Amino acid sequence: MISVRESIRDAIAEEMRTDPNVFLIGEEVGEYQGAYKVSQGLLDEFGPKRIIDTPITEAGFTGLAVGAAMNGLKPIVEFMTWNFAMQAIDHIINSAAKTHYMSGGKINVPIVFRGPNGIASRVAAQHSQDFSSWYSHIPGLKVVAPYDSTDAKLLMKSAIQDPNPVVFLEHELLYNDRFILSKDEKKIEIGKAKIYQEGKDISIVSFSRGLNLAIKASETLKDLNISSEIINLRSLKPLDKESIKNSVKKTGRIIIVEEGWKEYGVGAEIISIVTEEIFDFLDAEPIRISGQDVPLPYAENLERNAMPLLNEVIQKAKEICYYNDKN
Amino acid sequence: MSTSIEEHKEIINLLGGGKKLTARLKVLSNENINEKTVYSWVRQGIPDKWKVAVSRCLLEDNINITNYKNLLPPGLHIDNLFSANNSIKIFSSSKVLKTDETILQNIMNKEQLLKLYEMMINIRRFEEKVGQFYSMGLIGGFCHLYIGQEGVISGIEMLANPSDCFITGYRCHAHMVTRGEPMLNIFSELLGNSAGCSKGKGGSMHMFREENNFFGGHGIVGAQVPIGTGIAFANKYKNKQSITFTFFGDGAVNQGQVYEAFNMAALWQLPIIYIIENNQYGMGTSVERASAMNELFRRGESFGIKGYEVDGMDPLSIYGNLKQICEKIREKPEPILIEAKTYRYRGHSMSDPGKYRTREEVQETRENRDPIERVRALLISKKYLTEENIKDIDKKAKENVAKAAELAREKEMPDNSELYEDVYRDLDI
Repeated sequence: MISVRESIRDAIAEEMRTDPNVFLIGEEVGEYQGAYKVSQGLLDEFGPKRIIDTPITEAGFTGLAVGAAMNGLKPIVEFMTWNFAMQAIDHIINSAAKTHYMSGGKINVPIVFRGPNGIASRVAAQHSQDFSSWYSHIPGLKVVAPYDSTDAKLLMKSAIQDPNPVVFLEHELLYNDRFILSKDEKKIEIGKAKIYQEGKDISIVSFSRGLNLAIKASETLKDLNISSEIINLRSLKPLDKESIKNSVKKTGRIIIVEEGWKEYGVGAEIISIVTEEIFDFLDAEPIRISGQDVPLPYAENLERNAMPLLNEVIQKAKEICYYNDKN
Repeated sequence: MSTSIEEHKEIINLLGGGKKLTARLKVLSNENINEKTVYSWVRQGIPDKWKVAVSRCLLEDNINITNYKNLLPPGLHIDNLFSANNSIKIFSSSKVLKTDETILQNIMNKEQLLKLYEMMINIRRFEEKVGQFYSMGLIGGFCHLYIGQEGVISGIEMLANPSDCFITGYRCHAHMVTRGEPMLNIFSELLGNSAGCSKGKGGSMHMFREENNFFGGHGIVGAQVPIGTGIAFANKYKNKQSITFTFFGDGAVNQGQVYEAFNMAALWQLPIIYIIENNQYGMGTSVERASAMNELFRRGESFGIKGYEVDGMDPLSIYGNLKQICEKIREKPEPILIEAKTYRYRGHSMSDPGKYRTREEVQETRENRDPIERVRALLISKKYLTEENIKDIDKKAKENVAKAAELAREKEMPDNSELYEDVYRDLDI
C-alpha cells in the first residue's frame, strides 16, 4: 500500500532520474518539502538546481516555466493549490496551450502544471474549488485527474513525458489515502478511462475524489440488486468518449458524479455526448450529481451540503433504475 | 552660479561636516562608509551613489533642497525624493548613457556599417509593403508596424552571438526579418496562406523562428517578459553562454508580471537583457499619462537591476553601449534593463486614428532622428559609399521585398485539413 502523495513524488523522482531536463518549480517545494509534502525528500536527492523554491509569484514563475519549456526544458510547476493558479491562468492558456498551434507546430511546450484541486476541508470559497471544467475547455491542454495511487503514479509519468502542456489535478483529501499499486498496469495513456468495476444496470462515471462516492453508492446499490459499472475517467481532456459510450450502450443509464458546479460542468459535457451520439441507447434520463451552485461555505454543515452527497447518488440511481422501495 | 564641487562642499558644511555626515549616512544606508571617503567629497564632489542619501539629510534638516541644483542625481526629480519616504536606499547605478559622437562614428568598420544599413532598410521596405498590403485589404486583423524603430533591433543584431535568444511582443515582423526568416514566409503568414511561417495560423503577432532562437511574437502585453526570463533560465540551467534579449514596450512596463520576472531574474542572476522599446505611446496613451515614474530605465532598481537609457534612434549607440554590457554579462550573468528611447512613425496598429500626437511631432522625429538617415549620412561622410551606391542598395532592397511580396500572393490558402493540425504535438516526435 502506498499513499497518493508518495506515488506522485515517486513518479516525479523516477522521471527526474531519467531526464536531466525535468525540474520542479513552485512555492515551498524545496526546503519546506512542499506545502502538502508531495515533494518530500526531492531537494535532498536532486539539489536546489532542479527543485526550485520560488517567491510567491504565480504569474511570474508560470510564465518563466513556460519559457523554459519552449527552450528545451521539461518543467513541473507546482501550484500550492489550483486556486492560486488563477493568478497565472493567462500563461497556462495563452502562452502554454496555444503556442504550438499558433506557431504552426514549430514551438511545443512540454510542461506539467500540478497541485491540489477541488474541495478541500473548511477553508471556504477562495481555497476550495474544482477547476476540472475550466481547463478541460481549452484546446491545446491535456487534463488528467487521478483517483488512486496507480493513477497518480502512472499518469504523472505520462504527463512528464508528454510533449504538450498537461494540467494535473490532484486532490488534497486523497493525498493520504493508501492504495495497492497495480502490478498489471505499467503505463497509463492520457485520454484513456478505466473501467473500475464492471456492471450491467447503470454506469456511474466519475473522477478524482468523486470515485469514492461512486464506489460507496455501488455497494449499497448492489444490496438492492442493482449492478453498477463504475468508470474512472482518469483523463478529462482528451475525454475517453468510447469507454463512456460503450458502457452506456450496455447499461442504458448514466450518472455522473463530480465536485464541480453543475452548470457548464464535466457532467454537462458527458451527458451532451451521450445524448447527441447514442440517444437511442438511453433507457432513462441521464443524471448529474454535482457540487451546489454556491461559493463553498465554511460552516461544517453548509460545506457538507454544498458537496455532492452519497444519498443523492443512491437515490437518483434507484429512481432511474425504477427501483421501488416497497419491493 | 556655483560649481557642483563648491555646492557639495557647502552642503557638507550645512550638515555639520564630514564626521557628522558619515555617522548619519551609516545609519541611513546601513553601509559601512568611512569618514575619509566623506571628507574626500569636499574636494571631489558627492558621488551619484550617495546623492539621494545626502538629499534626505537636507530634507530632514528642513533645508531647501531646490537651492542645490547639482545635488540630485541625473533623472531624479525632487518630487520623487519626497515621495520616496522610506526608500532612502535608492543608491541607483542606473544612468543615461550618452556616448561621444566621434566614438560612435568610429564604432563600426565599413562592412559592419553596411550590414547595419542593409538590415534597417530591409525592415523599412518590408514594413512599408506590409502597410500597403493592409490598405489593400489583403491582411486581416491587427497589424503593428516597426517603422521608425529599426535602429533598436538592428543595433542589437550587430552584436548578438548566434546562440543568443530573442523574444518580443506583437510588433514582431522586424525581429523575424533580422533573425533570418525568408520574407516570403513572413508575407505569406500575414496573408494567411500555406507558406506562412506559422502555416497561416498565427498571423501578424505570432511568428517564431526557433532555429535562430527567436521565440516569438506574443500577443498578450507583457507576457513575453516572464517567458523570456524562462528562456534565460533554461540557458543558465544548461550552462549555455547565451544572452536572452527580451523586448517589450512602454505600455507593457506597467504590467505586474514584468516585476515578478525582474525579481526572479535578479534573485537567480539570469543572463538576460530586458529592452524597453519606449516609442513614447502605448497605443494612444503617452508615457506621461501612463507611468507615475517615467524614467523607465530605473524600473528595475528595487531589484538591484542596473538600468540604462540609450538613444534608440541611434543604432550605433545601441550597439556600442550594449556590446560592453553583453561582454560583462557573458562573463558573469545578471539581468540588465535597457530603455531604448525610440519612436514609431506609423500608428500603434493600422487602425490608429492618430489623434493623440501632432503631425509635427512625427515629422520632426523623422527629419532629425531617423536611424536609417543617420547611418546613411555616416556611410557617405566616411566615403564608404556614394549616393549612387546607396540608391542601388535601396533599389535592391525594394526589389527583394516586392519579389517576396508578389510570390507570397501566389501561394495557396492553407488546406482545410490544417484546421485540426498542430493543436497537440504527437507523442513520438
